[in-house]
Amino acid sequence: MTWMGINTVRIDEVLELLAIANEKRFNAYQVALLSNESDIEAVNDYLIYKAQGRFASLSAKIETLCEANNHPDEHFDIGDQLPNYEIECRICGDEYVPDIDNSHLVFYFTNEFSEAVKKKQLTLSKQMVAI
Amino acid sequence: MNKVVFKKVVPKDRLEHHITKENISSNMNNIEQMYKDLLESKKELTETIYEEYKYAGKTSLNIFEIIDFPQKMNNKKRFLDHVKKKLGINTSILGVPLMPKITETPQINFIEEVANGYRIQWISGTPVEAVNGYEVISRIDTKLVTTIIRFGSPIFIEVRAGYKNSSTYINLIKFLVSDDGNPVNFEKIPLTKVTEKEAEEIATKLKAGLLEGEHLGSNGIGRYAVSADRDTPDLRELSEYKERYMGKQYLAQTLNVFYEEKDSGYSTNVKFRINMNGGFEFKSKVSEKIIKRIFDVFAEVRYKKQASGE
Repeated sequence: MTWMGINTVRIDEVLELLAIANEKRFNAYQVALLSNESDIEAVNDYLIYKAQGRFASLSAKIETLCEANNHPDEHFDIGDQLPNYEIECRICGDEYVPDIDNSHLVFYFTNEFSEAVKKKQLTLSKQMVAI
Repeated sequence: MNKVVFKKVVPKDRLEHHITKENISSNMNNIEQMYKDLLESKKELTETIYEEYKYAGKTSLNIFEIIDFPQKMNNKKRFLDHVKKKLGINTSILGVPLMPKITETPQINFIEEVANGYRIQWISGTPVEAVNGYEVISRIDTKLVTTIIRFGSPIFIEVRAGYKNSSTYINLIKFLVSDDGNPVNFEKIPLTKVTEKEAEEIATKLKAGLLEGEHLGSNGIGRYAVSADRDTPDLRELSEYKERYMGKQYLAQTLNVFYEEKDSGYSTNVKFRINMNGGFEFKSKVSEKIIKRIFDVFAEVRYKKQASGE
């Protein structure tokens, strides 16, 4: 199925492979590259879609970057307001006020999804052995 | 003490710790407000906190072991007598701001006694012309640098300035301890410039996590700067880092140490960056106690002695 010009089936396959590899904190750029998609914005929208609702397989975080060195720093939930006061970069100690334009989205698998994928993998390999 | 200088050196989490402990209501997102509220209800405590950080904060720091320091001056009293003579002051000078006329060459502003030695604060200034609203004004860009001389065997001089700059202050001390106008020729061995092996030992002893490694590259790559994500307390535990970067020459390391004071209950993460070519900088605001805790371990690794600190 293509949706908004991207192949979501292939993306789902890539996500399953990443979950099996225990990948943490990935982003749309990475997923787009692995699934041969060029529209990173669309992949990002798809990942956000998968991070919503009761049956979400992903969780999304806004990751701020520090001003002095672009260090990936603090995480906030989507919809939360970013602090309007200075926070301290956990790497270089830079004191900066987080800015949505100097932030990006990162994704994690939910525990349920990771476990389900690994269980499926295990069942598949058992079936293979049985054949 | 005022909010500007206080905010510059005291970390927010230290204020948070006391405000919570003393049950003071304050806006925990606003350090100036926190300072104001703590000062209002606990003035003495606020001053004590400031004293601990006054000469420290987010500072660069270099410690040198001094070889061939004039032996007759390796003594608190004789050193002080000599300095008084040199400055032409007969009265007591300890703890008194001397306030010399500010010049581009650093001069002694303040001498204070510390364990085994003296803390000497130097003041210098460069005239600059700056835009002030719609007019141009002249002002003096003032620089205060703290140096600490610790007598004993060996003698250490600590300079709270960048690695390159620290030579300036070592040279001033060479002039300060000389009897005539010629500088005393002593050698300095930087304790804060460590080998990779020493850095590793220091990290192990302090249970420090590697937050960032800067490595020299090859084949078209100049350098790699690899930093840990927020779920990774120590890059060296990460297989990808081990396989791809750890064997490459370090240019700098940023380490994180969990620090806890048993008596006050204050705990914090102390971050510092060791430049492998010399130069040490704290990346979080630290107190004198924290500096001592870290450098006891540096000395322990260099001289293979037991640290005296907590």
